[in-house]
Amino acid sequence: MSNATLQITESSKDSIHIISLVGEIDAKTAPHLKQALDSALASGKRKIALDFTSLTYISSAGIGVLNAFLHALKNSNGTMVIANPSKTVRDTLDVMYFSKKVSVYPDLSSAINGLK
Amino acid sequence: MDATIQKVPVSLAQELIKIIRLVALAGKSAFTTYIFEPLTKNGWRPIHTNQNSKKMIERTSSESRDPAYFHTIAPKCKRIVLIAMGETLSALGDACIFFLEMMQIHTKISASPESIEFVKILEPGLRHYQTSLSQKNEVKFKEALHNALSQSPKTALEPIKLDLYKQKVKLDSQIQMLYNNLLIASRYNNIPKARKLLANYIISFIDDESYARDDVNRLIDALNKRSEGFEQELKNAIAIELYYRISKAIVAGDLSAAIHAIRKYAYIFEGNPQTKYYYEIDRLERILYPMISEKKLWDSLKK
Repeated sequence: MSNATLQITESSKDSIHIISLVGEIDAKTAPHLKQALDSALASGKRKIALDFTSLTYISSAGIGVLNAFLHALKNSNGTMVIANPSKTVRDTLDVMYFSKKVSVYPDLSSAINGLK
Repeated sequence: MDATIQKVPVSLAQELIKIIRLVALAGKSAFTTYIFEPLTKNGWRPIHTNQNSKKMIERTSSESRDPAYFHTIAPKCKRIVLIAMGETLSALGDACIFFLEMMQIHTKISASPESIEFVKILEPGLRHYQTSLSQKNEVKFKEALHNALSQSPKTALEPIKLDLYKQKVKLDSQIQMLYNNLLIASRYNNIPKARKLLANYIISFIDDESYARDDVNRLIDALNKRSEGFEQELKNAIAIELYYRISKAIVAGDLSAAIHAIRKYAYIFEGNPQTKYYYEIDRLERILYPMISEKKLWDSLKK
């Protein structure tokens, strides 16, 4: 298993739930992300902004978790956006076709505006 | 495989078929080391006869449709393997794959002494080969990928352009045909066929907008009630197939096909760590993505 770490912090702004990720999402850390996303949904959060500013890597395991969450969120009439991914992360989102499913913004403030 | 095992599990038979195909891609030397030699060392000696393994496969295949013949299939498969050993390595590969396919038809075949012995002989070597390919030998793996990309990156990434409308029509008709066949197999309780068709359907269309997610889930629930463990076997079959496609694509330097299969794996299993090959695929991605960055191939892969 890899040595990847992932820190997840959560905050709110204007009824939008912001989940900030620091580190890497891979097979080892993807289950932690899933846990955080599932509890956000369970606690009634419906507008989610994922802040990718300090995310340095994402693998298909992470994309899979995000896709499952997106599906569940849409079924609950919710929406999700991604803010400020690095080039590497953005490239991975693109080749996995995930950026076709969610809006990706260059920074957090425009992502929040996009959710309003 | 557990030394005390009573039968060869379907997923193990499927997995060994995929590894045999990968060994075949590696060439004659690997095939001799991992298939031919373990058999001879365990007393499976070539038989030279007038019989032809290909014809025997055809005959045994048609007999396998009649449950009255089930108890005769495994001994016949062993004989086919022995005859094929006296023919060519290709014939031996076909015979081994045929035997493993037959094991998936019925417990009477997968629980036979011949099936269990065959798998016990081949599995350790094939597992070793698989490990060397995907884990321990990552440096060699990187080199193979690097070399393959240096030779023909443009060809490997060349997108196949078809008329979009025709492509869509073709896809729709394929979905319909596959789905109809699946319903027929399900109605006649042909569980192995239903599993195979369902795996094909999910792999082919998971990322298509017409993918019938709710229907598929209903069908899986129904089949799971008829055959305990159906869903798990289906997931194993899909994971094995996709891992095989990824490995094959990487060995061939076909990054586009590798990414395609990784994407399907991601959308089908949605980051479930209990899925077969979850960590292996993650390790492959750790090798792949830096290579794609180094070669500046991201844009080509997005097409």
